[in-house]
Amino acid sequence: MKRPVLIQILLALIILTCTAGCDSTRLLREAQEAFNQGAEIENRARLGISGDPASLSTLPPPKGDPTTYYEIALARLEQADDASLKRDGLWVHKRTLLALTHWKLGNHEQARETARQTNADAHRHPREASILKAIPALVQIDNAIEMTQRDEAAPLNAIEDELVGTPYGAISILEEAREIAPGHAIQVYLIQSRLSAYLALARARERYGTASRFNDSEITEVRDSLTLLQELLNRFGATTADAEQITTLWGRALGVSH
Amino acid sequence: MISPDLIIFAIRTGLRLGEAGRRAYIDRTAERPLILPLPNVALSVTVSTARDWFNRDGRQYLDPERFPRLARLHEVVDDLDEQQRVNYLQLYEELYDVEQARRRGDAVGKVSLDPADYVRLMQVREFAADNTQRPSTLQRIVGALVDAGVDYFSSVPGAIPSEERRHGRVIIGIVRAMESIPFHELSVDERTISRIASRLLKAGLDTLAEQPEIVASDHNVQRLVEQAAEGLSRDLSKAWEASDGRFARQQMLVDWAELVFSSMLSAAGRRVVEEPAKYLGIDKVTHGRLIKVVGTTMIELASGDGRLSLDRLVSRQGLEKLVEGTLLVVSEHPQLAGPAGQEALGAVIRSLARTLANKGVIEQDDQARAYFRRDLLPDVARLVLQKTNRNFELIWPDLESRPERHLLAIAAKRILTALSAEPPQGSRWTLRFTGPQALALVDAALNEMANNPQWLIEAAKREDRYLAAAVEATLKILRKKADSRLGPETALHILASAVRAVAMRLSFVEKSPNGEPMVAAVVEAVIATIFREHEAIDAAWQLVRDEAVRGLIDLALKRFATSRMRSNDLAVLTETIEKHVRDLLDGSPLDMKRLDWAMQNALEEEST
Repeated sequence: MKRPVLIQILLALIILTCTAGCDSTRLLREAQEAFNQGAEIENRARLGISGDPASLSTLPPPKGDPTTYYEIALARLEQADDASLKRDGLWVHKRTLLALTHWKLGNHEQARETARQTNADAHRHPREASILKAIPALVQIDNAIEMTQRDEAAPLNAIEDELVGTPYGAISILEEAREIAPGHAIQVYLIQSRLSAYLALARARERYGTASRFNDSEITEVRDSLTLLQELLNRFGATTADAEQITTLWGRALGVSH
Repeated sequence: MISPDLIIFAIRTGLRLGEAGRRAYIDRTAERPLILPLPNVALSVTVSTARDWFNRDGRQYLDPERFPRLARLHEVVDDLDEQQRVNYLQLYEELYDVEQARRRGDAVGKVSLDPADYVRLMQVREFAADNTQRPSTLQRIVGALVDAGVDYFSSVPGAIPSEERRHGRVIIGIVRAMESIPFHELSVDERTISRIASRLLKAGLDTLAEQPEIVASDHNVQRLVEQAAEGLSRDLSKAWEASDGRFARQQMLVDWAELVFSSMLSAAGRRVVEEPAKYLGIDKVTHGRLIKVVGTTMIELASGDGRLSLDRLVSRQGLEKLVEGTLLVVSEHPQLAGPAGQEALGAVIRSLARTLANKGVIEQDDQARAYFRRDLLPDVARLVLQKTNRNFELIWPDLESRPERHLLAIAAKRILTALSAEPPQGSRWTLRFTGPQALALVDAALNEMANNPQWLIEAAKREDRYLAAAVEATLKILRKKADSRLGPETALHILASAVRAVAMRLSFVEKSPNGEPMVAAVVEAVIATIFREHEAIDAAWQLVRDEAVRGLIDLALKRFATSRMRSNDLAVLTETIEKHVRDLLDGSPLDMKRLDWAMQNALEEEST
């Protein structure tokens, strides 16, 4: 028996409306997945980690160039519909991921702009709000490294401004990001980003052949950051041994005991 | 109380984009963890890093009396050549660790971070651990199931779950399993339980999609899903608690449980449909016990020995065989469903896995060392378990006190170890056996053993030295006396004949004058004669044919078994074979009947 025409039209409308919404959610999920895979490759390479984390997993660990994964993430995010994501409360998540993806792809200006133009409610979205706040710092750390590695390095004071300048240096910005979500697991990431900034500073001063890479107050800050990192790792689920090992890797690279 | 119908409804509406299901889907998207990458700086060590550390935190290591080499290098730190630079950095890394350990008041430990642990720590969820906005346990489980369901069904075009269809049965089974688990008694967190539930749901849906005939129209499959999921979730939760927070281990456990669950549905599905009372139980006491025992055994296999890389030993197909073998032996022997029986089952399979892996019999972590491909373990375990059904008490004499003392398992391990061993230096015959060939010998040998109660009784006294001794000694003779003209199939035939001979007469394992078991001495008499360098090509042509070699071995063993099996008999037998070969060199044809008659006569004469 045929359905009445009105019911058929209503059904078609519901399906059409919902499909647009769900497609955007699915695109966001695909972007999250792709970004995570790229980040996993990077993080393993960063600490010189090799090996298979999911020995029985049907999905092998991601391999290859993380940029490819970030490009996939960007493509998915650009396809996702802002209006439907806003309606579903996922727009902030999209914007955060977009800023992160732009940063990793080297689109530094777009990363900063995306972060600047996105207001995230720190209470509802503590992770996203912290990341958005930290994006300029992350960009500046990468920028400082690039400035150091140029054939003709940028002036040391310009690099130092990017990293330890007040109030716009990466370390100050990361402190603000940390204040947004105290007690949140994002702290582990932010502290490691802060240590990355100090490492970038050390590399720059090495390039300029300064007598010592850190002054006394910087040494104290690095030492405190290492201690804090170990505490945070323990608090957010690392075993004591893992927390010590991660902290030792950082401390050794920075040349500071704690 | 979670309503299965509601979850099916949520998934359906999620798929049809109704508000309730869609909302759950969206919430799960918002909650998904992000792995955050660090800025682009390498955690490497430079000479400046080391120099600054020695100048400050590591100053005490610059004492020229205690560390003269370091002190010398540090003095010229700005002018180090390449080798000195390497040495300097090496000293820095070592002494940095020493200093850290000293500050902790701990022993020096090598920095080796588990990759999975680091990846996990860089995953950040939206909500903090102490955030009050987190949903309740049940909400999270419902959310996880809806999420997994929507993910699954959205990738299967046209599939919409309903209570009446097979998808619905899986969902209902999983939900009921979750309902019956006392979360408050478990110390694992709700995220873990949610993760376990959703992984089991996906595995169940996948498995039943691959084998729709299992669940065409049977409600018992729903009960199977329910029992398997409940048992596995409980076992897994316990194993999780014991994992000491090691993420890699937890990851392995969940992955393994998913594989076990799929294998249980595949392996047990048909049997449950055919004999529901037997496999699912008929009352509250026996309900689902069989299924749970198998699941527990498989989970304990993964959690009991951290050194075993089970994924490298067992594939999905292999695990199905293992599950099926375990299910069969448990269904035939209800005593195995008790705690001691479960422990015994796990002990036997673990001991098989451990021996095969540790002795390099099968692939483990070093493929160059490995000999047989993976999945030999499930085949061997299945053979061992299936053959246990006959003469159960004799095969497994100390089930409770020494569960690993399973006579067939012990025999299988020794045979496989012997077959996979490198040929000794100076061997003339160096061919190797394939996995299926080795398995065929194990099958034949275990058959002989399982069907001979007296052998089992004797074997129980001597840890089965008979069977292993026969195989090892015979193989040793083949390596020493045969050459590349002996094919592995014929070699297997000889080994199987040796085992059969021992099964026929135990005296075959008694020592011959040269110290080897009699069975090996008989084989030597034949093989040494056949594979000698013969000048007459025609004679050699006839002798080394596979058929001739097999015939001569079988004949010699048969005739010797009918003798009094003394050393004189062995000498007579050897002389008769030698004489027959001399006739062959003089131009006579190979005549098995004449040789048989000659052997018989010679041995009878000797006995009189």
